[in-house]
Amino acid sequence: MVIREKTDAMTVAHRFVEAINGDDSVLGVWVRDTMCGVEIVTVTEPLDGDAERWLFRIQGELIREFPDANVQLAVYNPSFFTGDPFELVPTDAQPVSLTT
Amino acid sequence: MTVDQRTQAFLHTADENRAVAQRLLSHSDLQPAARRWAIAAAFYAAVHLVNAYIWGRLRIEPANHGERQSFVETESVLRTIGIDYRQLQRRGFDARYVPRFVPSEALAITLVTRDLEQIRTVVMMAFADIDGISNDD
Repeated sequence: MVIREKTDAMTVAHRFVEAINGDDSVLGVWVRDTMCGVEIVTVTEPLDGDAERWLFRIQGELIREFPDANVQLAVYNPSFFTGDPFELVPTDAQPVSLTT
Repeated sequence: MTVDQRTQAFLHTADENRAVAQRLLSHSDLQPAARRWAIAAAFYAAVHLVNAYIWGRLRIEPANHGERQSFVETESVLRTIGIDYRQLQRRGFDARYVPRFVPSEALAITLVTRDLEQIRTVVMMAFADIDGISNDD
């Protein structure tokens, strides 16, 4: 019987941080395991809809790199949410250092 | 790629959801709730368009969003609309489950009239040589 190891959520998160490459429009990154897979959570500077699309491009790269992880991406962009976007970060999400 | 009754059903449902999204967007006093539902309907239109493509090509119906997303990344035609699909998926999720999501009019219009249309164009182009399906509207 072959047992496949589950992809570690923090490994996915570190690849995400590498991919954003210090872009200062991303203010924070968190990660958590959900029933459905690995969720990367970001809080950004206020961006318009087109300016946040590059983050969804990176999500696609991670889906291809970690096909068993079902990588999800939450983008809490203050342009589209009321109140403090940091309050939207799930309490069970682990912070990820933005320095690689 | 082949078009059978099931493919047609997916395309029909996609068109219904697309029409709802467009109707909500055209509401003269567009409110945040109308924008949220327009985005949610647009996402479900995209889901059925992607299902139509996958069924037409592989005779597989994805069991859930994760499986469908994997096809979007592995099928070369669908990969071209991957960013459109994923942004629409996320904002569709926010529209349904995050009460503090208040999309701007510009975002709602872009997701419904540009990104969903791009997804539709790519899927319909894949069916373009098959009788009975037209990309014209």
